[in-house]
Amino acid sequence: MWRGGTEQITRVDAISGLAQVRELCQDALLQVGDLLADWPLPTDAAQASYGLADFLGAPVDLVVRPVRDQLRVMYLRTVVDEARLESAVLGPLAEAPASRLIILAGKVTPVRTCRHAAAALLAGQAVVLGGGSSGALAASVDKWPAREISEPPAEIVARGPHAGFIEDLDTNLALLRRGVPDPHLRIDPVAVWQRTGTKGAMVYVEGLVQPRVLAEVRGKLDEIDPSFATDSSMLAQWLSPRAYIFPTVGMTERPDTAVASLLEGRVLLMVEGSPVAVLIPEVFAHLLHVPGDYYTRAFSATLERLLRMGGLLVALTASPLYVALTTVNLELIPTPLYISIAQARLGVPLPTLAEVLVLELLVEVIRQAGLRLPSGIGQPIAVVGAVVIGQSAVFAGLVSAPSVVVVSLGFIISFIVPSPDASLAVRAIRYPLILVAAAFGLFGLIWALFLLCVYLCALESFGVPYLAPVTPWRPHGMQDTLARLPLEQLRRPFLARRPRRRAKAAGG
Amino acid sequence: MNRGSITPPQLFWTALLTMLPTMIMLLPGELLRQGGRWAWWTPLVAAPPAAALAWAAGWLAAHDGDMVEHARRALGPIAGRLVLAATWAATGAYTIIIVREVGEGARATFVSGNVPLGALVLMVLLPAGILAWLGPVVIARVASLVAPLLTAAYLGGLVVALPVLHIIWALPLLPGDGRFATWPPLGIAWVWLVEPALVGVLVAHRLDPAARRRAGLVLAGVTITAAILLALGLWALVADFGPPRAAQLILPFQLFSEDLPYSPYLEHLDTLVMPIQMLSGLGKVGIFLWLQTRLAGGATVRCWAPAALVSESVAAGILGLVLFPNALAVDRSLYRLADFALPVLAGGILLPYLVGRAWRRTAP
Repeated sequence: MWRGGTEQITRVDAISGLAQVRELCQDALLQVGDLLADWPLPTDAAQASYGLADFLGAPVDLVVRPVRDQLRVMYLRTVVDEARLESAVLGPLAEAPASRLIILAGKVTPVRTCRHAAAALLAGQAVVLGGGSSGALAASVDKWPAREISEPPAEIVARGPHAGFIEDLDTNLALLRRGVPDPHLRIDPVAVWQRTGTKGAMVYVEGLVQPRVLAEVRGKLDEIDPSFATDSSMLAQWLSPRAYIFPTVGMTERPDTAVASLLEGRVLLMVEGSPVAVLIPEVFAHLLHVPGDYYTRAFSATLERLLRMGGLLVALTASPLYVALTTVNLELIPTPLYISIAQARLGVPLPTLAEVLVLELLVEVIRQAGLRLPSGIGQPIAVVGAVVIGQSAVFAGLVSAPSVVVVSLGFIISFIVPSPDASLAVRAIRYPLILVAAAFGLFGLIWALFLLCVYLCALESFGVPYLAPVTPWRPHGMQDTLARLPLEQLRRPFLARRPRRRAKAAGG
Repeated sequence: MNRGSITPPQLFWTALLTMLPTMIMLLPGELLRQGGRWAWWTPLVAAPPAAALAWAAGWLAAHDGDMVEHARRALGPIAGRLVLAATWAATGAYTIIIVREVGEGARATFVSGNVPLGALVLMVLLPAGILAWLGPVVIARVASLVAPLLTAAYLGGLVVALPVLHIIWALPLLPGDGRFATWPPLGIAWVWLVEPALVGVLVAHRLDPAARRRAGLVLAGVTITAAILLALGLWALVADFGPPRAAQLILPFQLFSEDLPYSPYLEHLDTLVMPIQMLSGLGKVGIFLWLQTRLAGGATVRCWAPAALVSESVAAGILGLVLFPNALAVDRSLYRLADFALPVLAGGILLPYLVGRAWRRTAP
């Protein structure tokens, strides 16, 4: 016993010691790596290529090609266009006289240190080492996997353009340039995430965007230091950390929406590798707008927007109102309706509050399950879940039919709100509303809605009040808020900068 | 707190929101009890001097800064603070009554069950306190969202009620002896109509610089508009219930809603009307708590706004519950307030401005 115990302890100590040694070695390697990072690339190509390969950890896709004496080309084969590499770099270098370097790539930049050379390799460039001088040359021959331009599934329109952004920033910027062929279109570089060097772009139309908004966006971009941001959606969260419930920045994957936003005086942020454009500022009215509004007649667009607004209110208040009326303010329900609700509730074991909360959670769970399943079976499962389980629960006397009707109605109507963030916010707000309505009836519901109103009034998106142009009242902004005037009557958007009088006079 | 400017429509709706809850809750009953058949003339008679006061208050505030800054500058640190403290005390008494009034109104929405009044008063103070903390810019935004809806509901109710009114009961329109109003109800109406002036002296300077010259006009407009709205409501109440019965009602608009043609579709329309009244009440309490905090900041040497706001909210809630044992006591207090609040409010607003203006004109 004693001996075995000792052996065991010794083995544990050995393993622990080994782990510590390994950790120390890794630390030492990292320190060596850090030292290597600022190591000036030597003139000897072989030595430089070994150092650079070590710095990158000798990845499997790293290729070192000797071209001629004292000249080596390094590249990551997964991110370069090998045909272009052959024709623009390897071929010309091989054919050039020994004393000269000829590279036909569009962009060639000198690199001095190991860190810069590694960054160039990771950016899809080919690094030419040696050549008799200190440092190296990086030639742009990158080729990134990209999908075809297609319509984003979350923003489909029946009539109108069917293009969508993709993961390539340059392609996305090209789509914007095609939409806004204006010399005042500005595309400023943005460093999104320092660690990976993720690049982005801030796009706006000078003269249309309000300088105050532009300054706010620039200030915010300087202020934040994202510890993790590889996508526009993440950048959006960094930019609006206090938007707990409703989104204060918009997002779209549609170039036509992005172009319309630019012409409205908004700022766009785009990130390499993300098909989502961040729209700034975002006000409440934007949550009810869809691109299709501008491809139909003004009358239809207005009617649909009013329906969406009404739907939002119904989705928000259907369940809480039902709970308030059936638990506290019974006197408000006409007698025949009350009798039918009471009959339907006969034998239901749960109180109305618990019944509604359980149903709300249940439909949300079914929705989540439907989202996680493959699209082929997600839809049938959701239908089976909703219809079969709901109907069975009513037959079994677990829940009452009116509660199922009200909760389902509220849930389905919540999807009338085009913005997914706003739709989720509406569904999330319903829970506290239901609780307050159960405790304090209509008064509680009005109280909670008043609090929500105060919250929305206090909310601002980059200096623009969230409920503008309703409050503060901007009459010219109402042309395209709930109602949409015919296109020929639309004037300057309320977010756009007011034109200077002198310029106006000169122009007119 | 939000630092920005407000627009003239926002000033209009903010001032109107301060007036709406009293206009639809306690004031009609008190005016009908004291004014009888021609009570609806009372706000119209009291409106012109109140509008003049509101115009002066708005004009001066927009040009000279708000009352807190101007009273101390014009009257000196001691006299200025005394005037601010007097105004603070008068509005404080009024705030207590409003908090209690809204709490009582909230309790009226519970036909069955017994909810502790203290809990309801706390519920009133919570959003109102948040609103007061957020400051005048957010208050103005909330007001310009809520007040138009309430005004539309009020006017809509009056229009819908037209078929059920007995016009003959409200005739003749002119009293035979030419006495449109008597002094006691005029005093009560005056206390109510002086509210836009009070809002004006503390909020009007937050207007956009380009719109400041319109401050006086906006506030006078609110006063006249509110007086007309109340007069229409009082006239409709007399035409609905008849003068003798109208004079006996404490919350006449609540009963009035029961007579609306659509009320049979809902068993008790009054319990639907009361929460809507509460909505205006929450806004008014928020505005008054902010006014109180601002005045406290001016009246004292050092004042930490959050502490002042919390202590004033708590004091308003506790005093409201302790001082007024029932709804009738709240109702009667409004009448009593007219006796002392009128001189303090009018003097507290007008005096420092008039003296301050005169001093500034004579100063080199």
